[in-house]
Amino acid sequence: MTWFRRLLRIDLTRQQATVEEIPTAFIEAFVGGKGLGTYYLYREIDPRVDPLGTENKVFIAPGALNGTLTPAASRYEMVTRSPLTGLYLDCNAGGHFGPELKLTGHDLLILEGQSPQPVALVIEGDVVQFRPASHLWGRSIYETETALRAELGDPRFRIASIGPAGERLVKFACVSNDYSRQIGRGGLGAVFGAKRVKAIAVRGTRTLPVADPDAFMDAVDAALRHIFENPWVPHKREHGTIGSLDDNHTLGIVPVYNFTRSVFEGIDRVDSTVFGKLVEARLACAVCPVACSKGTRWRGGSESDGIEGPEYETAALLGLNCLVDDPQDIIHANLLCNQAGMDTISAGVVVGMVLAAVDESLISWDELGLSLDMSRGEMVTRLLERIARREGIGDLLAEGARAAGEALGFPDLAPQVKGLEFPAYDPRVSPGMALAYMTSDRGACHLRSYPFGREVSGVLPWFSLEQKAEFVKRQQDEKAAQECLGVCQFPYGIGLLTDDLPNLLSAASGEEWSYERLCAVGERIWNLSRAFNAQLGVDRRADYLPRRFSEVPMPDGMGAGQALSRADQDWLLDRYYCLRGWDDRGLPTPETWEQLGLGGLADLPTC
Amino acid sequence: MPPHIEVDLELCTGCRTCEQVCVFAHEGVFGPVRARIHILRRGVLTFEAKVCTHCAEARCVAACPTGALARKGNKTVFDAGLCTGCGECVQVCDLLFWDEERQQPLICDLCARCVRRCPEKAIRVVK
Repeated sequence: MTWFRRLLRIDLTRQQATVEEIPTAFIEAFVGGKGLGTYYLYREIDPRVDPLGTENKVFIAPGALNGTLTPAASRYEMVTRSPLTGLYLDCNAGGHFGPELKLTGHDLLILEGQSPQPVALVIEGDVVQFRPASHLWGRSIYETETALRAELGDPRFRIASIGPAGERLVKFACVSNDYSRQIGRGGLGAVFGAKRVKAIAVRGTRTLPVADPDAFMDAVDAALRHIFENPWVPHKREHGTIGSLDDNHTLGIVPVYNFTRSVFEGIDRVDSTVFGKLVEARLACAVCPVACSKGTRWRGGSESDGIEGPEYETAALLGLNCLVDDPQDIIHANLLCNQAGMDTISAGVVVGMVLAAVDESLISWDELGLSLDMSRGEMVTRLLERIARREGIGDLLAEGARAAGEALGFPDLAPQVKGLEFPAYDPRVSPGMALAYMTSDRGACHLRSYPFGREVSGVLPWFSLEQKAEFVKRQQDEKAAQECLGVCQFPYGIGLLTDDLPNLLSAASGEEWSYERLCAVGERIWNLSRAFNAQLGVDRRADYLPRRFSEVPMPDGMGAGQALSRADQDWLLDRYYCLRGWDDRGLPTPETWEQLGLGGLADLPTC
Repeated sequence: MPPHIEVDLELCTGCRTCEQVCVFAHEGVFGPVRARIHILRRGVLTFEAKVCTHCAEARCVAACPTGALARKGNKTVFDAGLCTGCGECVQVCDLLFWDEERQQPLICDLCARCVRRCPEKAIRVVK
């Protein structure tokens, strides 16, 4: 019930697929999605494998509630060792691919080895086809998806693919499904590229029963009621995530010009009212009643040049962070990233970093292959094209902000933690977001915990350190649990598991699932990912913000004068480690490991 | 025009709640593979809805060799007991779908549960 308890192991080297049973104990401890993916990663790969080598694997897991009517149960997970950070990576995406994958009858898909030739995996129930894909190699995400679906002759296939950036091993290449939904962060597209997997097409041929259909539909109705009572929902239905851009700019947290300031003179030209007028379609992921996705089209292109977005992060980072104030330039940059298959967050940070470095005379226009007579928008698109092709300076920028900053002699300009570029919140303006970035399992991330909303609404004291460690730790556990279920964070209030999600899982599975039991799953995942990273040398020393965010206060806006000193960061980390049951170095202790029931499931490494 | 389900593509967001509602209503399980309505992605921003229009022309009825598909008043109805699973019906019309498990066609019976549960109120029964 709600699980098939089967995994599909794809040996790319030998072009063989085998089905294995997933033991009940694993499902009880890790549920699905992020949990199952993380656990199998921990079991099956040596953390030191080359992320782009044949030994690395990709664990692809739909959530436990994917494939049902659970509102917004659209998200699936990929877990691997990241080529961008060299550490644990998990990433999820919405759209329709996840539920379709689940309904092929599998709770987990493991890609291992390396295909001798470019391949498209076609999975229809238990039938797996290794389809030669050399003719698709080099083609964009949109072209690949359209062409492959036409070849397969059934419009019900859902497709995830990589673009030219993934093929060329750009370290922040993404995997994209349903045209415009991305497994965005950390370079999973490059791992696919190294394995020569151009695409995966899935068609669910199975049906999925739930244990107690009446109780399940009651739980669906209760969840829908709560979703529509959530005051956040009408705003996101109408405006999408970009609706937060104006407010966040007013609050002083949107990064401007490589996170050097927060006031952008051109905000009126790229605010949500401007983008609102460009919306041509409202789109939803599977079974989502919110439909936060807003479709726009680049007017310089053809009919087919549509995107879902730009989302908040994209508009902020490819826009304000690069001093771009023309909405069409932002849409164009977003489209280029979509087509090449690149993470718009990392791309916006890398490009913003080198543009700002010119002003500090650390690099020249000439070295970037740009000239002053170009518009900002043109500069951004030129650099994005070079990154996607690894051409000229693009070859270096394709390595990510940390590596590029080091190679170009300005490592401290790179806004990153553990090698993952900051999303669009300046951590100086939110001690909560700072701690979320510092402690995120995959490097700087706004999706593991999002305290900023609670800080500005007054639930948490904004510029204070108090209560932040408690909030971040608890929300990380809740969100990890949510990512095991495959439901989107937005309709449910960003990770705060009300009774709805435990009730839905209980009714679907026929077992008793409580909030506490789900949080314990989340906590297990956070300990496994930390233990994985610890074997790669991660401890407290890797948990700080780059120096400039503690030494250079925010110069303007509502957060003017704010910075987070090293002592403040230590204060937060001490509390956070204590709440996690980790030692002073920030590593899980044997007592914590046993207490979480990890003892019988995985070994705690000695580091 | 006979009564039928109509999807307003200006309002539809492509969430496919209708497909899951349809399967649950008729089969008590989930999985769009057995849905009688489908929302298909045609492009990055565009969809297409497929559901029986109960058209008077009823090529499916004409193609059915056993009378399992028949016209009853304004509706096309299906009698599973008469169906031999030949599949002629889905060859002549793409608004019927093939149930791979039962080897029979799936055709909208106008139960209208999808209408009630569409979060965008994009589906209606045209009388």
